[in-house]
Amino acid sequence: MDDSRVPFVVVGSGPSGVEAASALLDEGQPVTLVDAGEPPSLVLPSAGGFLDLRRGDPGQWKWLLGPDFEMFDGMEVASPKMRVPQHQYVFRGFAEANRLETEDFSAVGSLARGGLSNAWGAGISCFDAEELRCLPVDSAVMAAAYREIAQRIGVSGSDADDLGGFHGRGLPLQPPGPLSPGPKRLLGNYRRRRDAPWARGFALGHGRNAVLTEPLGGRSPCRRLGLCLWGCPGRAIYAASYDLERLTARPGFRYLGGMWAESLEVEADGVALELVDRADGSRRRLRTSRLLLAAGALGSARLVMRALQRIDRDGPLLTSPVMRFALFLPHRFGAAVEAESFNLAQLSFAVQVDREPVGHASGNLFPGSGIPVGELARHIPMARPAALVLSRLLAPAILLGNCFLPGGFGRHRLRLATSGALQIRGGWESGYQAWTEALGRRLVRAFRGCGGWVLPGSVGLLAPGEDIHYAGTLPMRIRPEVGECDAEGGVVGLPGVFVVDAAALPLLPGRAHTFTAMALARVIGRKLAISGHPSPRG
Amino acid sequence: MGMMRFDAIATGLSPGENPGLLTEPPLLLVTGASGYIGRALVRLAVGAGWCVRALARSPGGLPRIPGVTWHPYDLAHDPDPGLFSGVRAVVHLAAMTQGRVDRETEAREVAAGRRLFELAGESGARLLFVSSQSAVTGAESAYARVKRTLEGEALSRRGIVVRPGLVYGGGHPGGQFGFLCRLVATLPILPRFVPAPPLQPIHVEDLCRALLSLAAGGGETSTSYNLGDREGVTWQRFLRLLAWERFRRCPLWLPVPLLPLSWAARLMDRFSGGEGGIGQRVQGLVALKEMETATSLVALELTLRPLRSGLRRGGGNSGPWRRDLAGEGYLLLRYVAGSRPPVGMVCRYVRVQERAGVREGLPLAPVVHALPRLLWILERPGAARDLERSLAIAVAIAEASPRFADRFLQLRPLSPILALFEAFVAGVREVLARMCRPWVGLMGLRGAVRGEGDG
Repeated sequence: MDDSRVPFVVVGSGPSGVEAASALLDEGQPVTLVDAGEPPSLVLPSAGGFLDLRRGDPGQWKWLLGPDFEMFDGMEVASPKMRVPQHQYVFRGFAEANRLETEDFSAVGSLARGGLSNAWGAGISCFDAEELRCLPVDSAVMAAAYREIAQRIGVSGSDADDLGGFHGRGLPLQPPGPLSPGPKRLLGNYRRRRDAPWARGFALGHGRNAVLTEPLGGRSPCRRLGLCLWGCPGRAIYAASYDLERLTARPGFRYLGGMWAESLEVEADGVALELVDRADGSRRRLRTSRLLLAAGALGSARLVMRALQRIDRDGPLLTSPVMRFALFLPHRFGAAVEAESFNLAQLSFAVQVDREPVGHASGNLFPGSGIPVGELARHIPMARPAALVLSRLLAPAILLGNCFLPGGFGRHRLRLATSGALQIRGGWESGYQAWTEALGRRLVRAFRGCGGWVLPGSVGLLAPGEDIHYAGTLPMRIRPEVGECDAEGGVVGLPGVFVVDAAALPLLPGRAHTFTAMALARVIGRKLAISGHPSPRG
Repeated sequence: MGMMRFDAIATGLSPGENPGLLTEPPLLLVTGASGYIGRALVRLAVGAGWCVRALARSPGGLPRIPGVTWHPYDLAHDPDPGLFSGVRAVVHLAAMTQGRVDRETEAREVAAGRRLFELAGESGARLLFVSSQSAVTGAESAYARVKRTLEGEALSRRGIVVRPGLVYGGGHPGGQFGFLCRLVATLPILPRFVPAPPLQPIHVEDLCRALLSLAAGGGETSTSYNLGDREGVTWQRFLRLLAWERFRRCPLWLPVPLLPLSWAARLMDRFSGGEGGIGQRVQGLVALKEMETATSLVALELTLRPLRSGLRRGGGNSGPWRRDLAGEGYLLLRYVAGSRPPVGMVCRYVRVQERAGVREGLPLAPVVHALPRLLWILERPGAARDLERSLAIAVAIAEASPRFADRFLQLRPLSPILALFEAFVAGVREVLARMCRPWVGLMGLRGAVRGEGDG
């Protein structure tokens, strides 16, 4: 079944996709957004806070384990987030649909409505001036996009602390949420001692998150229910699916859900997108003047590689190596679990590193009581009863930390095989291990100066891909080659095809990159909308 | 003779052959039909639609079963050739070398077997000879010699030889299994033979299913089939499971060197005259070596039931795993939660395991069921993967309940000193458990979880 040509089609309903669609609609352009649309499974906790539910809800096993015990499907995976039953639908089917074949790489993606933002940590950070220079886009335009997006989705944090400059100043921010006693003391210690030698090149401050602390657009502010891992009933944590709901009410917007974008083909006067209906396998062909790809770094790359017939050729893939650790706060040992808590990043930190072109790593600290105690116990090398006793005592006294390293360490390769499989081979540059060990020692010293103790044995590196920060598969360049993107996001070799997600980012610094991908999508979407329908470039 | 249910597979009907058109069920002749394997075979054959001519030394006291005709038969005398008329298959189980025998008796048994095989051949019946694992190993007992000789006779007559491992289970234990049951039921201390002889058990009903399948036309003639557990179990593990599953006993163990015991037992037999008796049994254990069974099991498409469920008195094949998993779930939940779990929690454990396709419980020693805290000694980093996984499941299920909330959540603040003390106590227990781990073997717990390393 053929559709007549539509002006703009966006593939993917994650944060970049809805941002691009939103930008086009804002300029009065009609948009059709296509996604695989895996529907959410609504196994939300009953009304109430985490502690009340844990003490009194006899049906809690349904949302903690899943009504069909979906939690146990991911027992081998390192991240507790992957075991949450409410998130199963987010990751379901991605590997099979893309026919992923991986070696030393743990590839994760989403076919869900709203993409990975349904299960993300909501960390927000702007590229700094040095990092933006790597993008062939006007920094001032990007800064304006950052502000617009922050205003619309709601971002809370502090501009005034030592991390304000790192994450980007000048954004319309909601106030940061109240800190739990442990993070509060840690931050207080840091502020009192920030002139000490250990603090050189280290900064600690409030976390900056796409989480509301004030009402916005029908979404409620965070009520510190402590259910962040399992889904916020008040929608305080931003998800692109919320924007998708709003977009469907806007004139000029058409949503085609449940459609798998199998391939694209450049035609004389536009682009044809081959879609497969996931419900019944039927096919349809959607014709458009401009196709905006926001299917994620892996998904967008697959479509482009297939269209360019780049078969059995290695291409780039950036990921952010992640170091994880547990930070013990001695003064909290023996404390009770808080009745109210915000369990995403209450604090974040940045560390200057000697690494070009990006000179820093950054990370976040999450309350240890935000995850099931069994998740802590599995990392304690003792018999279960002893491990559970220790975990129970430690949970209110630890902060779980992650640290995103610059993406340049990766030597991952992405390739589309003749068989149609998307193959990923993971690897790190030599010297990576030693470099991360040195960084680890710096963090240990820095946190000790703030009164926290990194627990021995808790420092580890996630396997390649487990960070789920993928970028750079179709990088923007000032002088792009075939298969790369120009300053407008256009793919060289595929006139009419544009990349508006993290695939276009040519670098991945040691910070959260989703906000920048969203800003890029807005910038490119607006440019395309304003430029009307120029004739396709060759 | 009443109407029999017709099982097309058991009767070996050709494709397209309509069972409804047949007027006579097929006829099976079984020698040694009153023995341990024979009784089970007769019962199952009738259930599968066969008529059975059961030959036994003293059939008079045996139960009347529709479809079965009992005939007196003694290996010392030739059988009535008329008994072989119309027979589809002959299964030769009878043996007289199980007691004390001399060379003359041995020769007579060989001759009797030879005559049976001739009559089976003349009647056109399929011949199945049930031999023994000991025939494979070159053992020097009369029993093994007879079996080996008759194997050759059967194969030369296009017969099929079946060599079962240790046959166990069923409601009327006999043979070696019966001996072991008496041993376990009466002795509070059992020998732990060193080295541990390898046993390859097969449940009597699984063996009989295989025999019926061969009788019906499955398998290849002039072929030997070795039937028993592929990987084998040690003597100690078998007895430990038998003691618990069948008799709910937790015996103590006494290490006994096998070879000297065998010499002593042989001397005893010699003084008492002839071979056989306990000396023969011990000799059999000494000579026992593993036989390759995987090929035969695959060829006959035979899946052996799990040992633990097979050893129970019911011993059936109808979903015993649920009971195993429930027992395991109760144990592990009690271990991690520190108190008895409610039924609902145990049910969730079973469902999680079943969902993952688990059909057999962990091989936990009976003493671990009696004292779950022993898991503290047995659980260690890098321990059995199945145990680690099952414990992780138990922890998650126990945590997802208000009942044990105080075990997983610090609901009330503790002073740092009390918190340290609680952590210290847990640490001391962990240290003590680790100190006990090297002594696991001496405590008879090695392999209590994995079921390996006994000996």
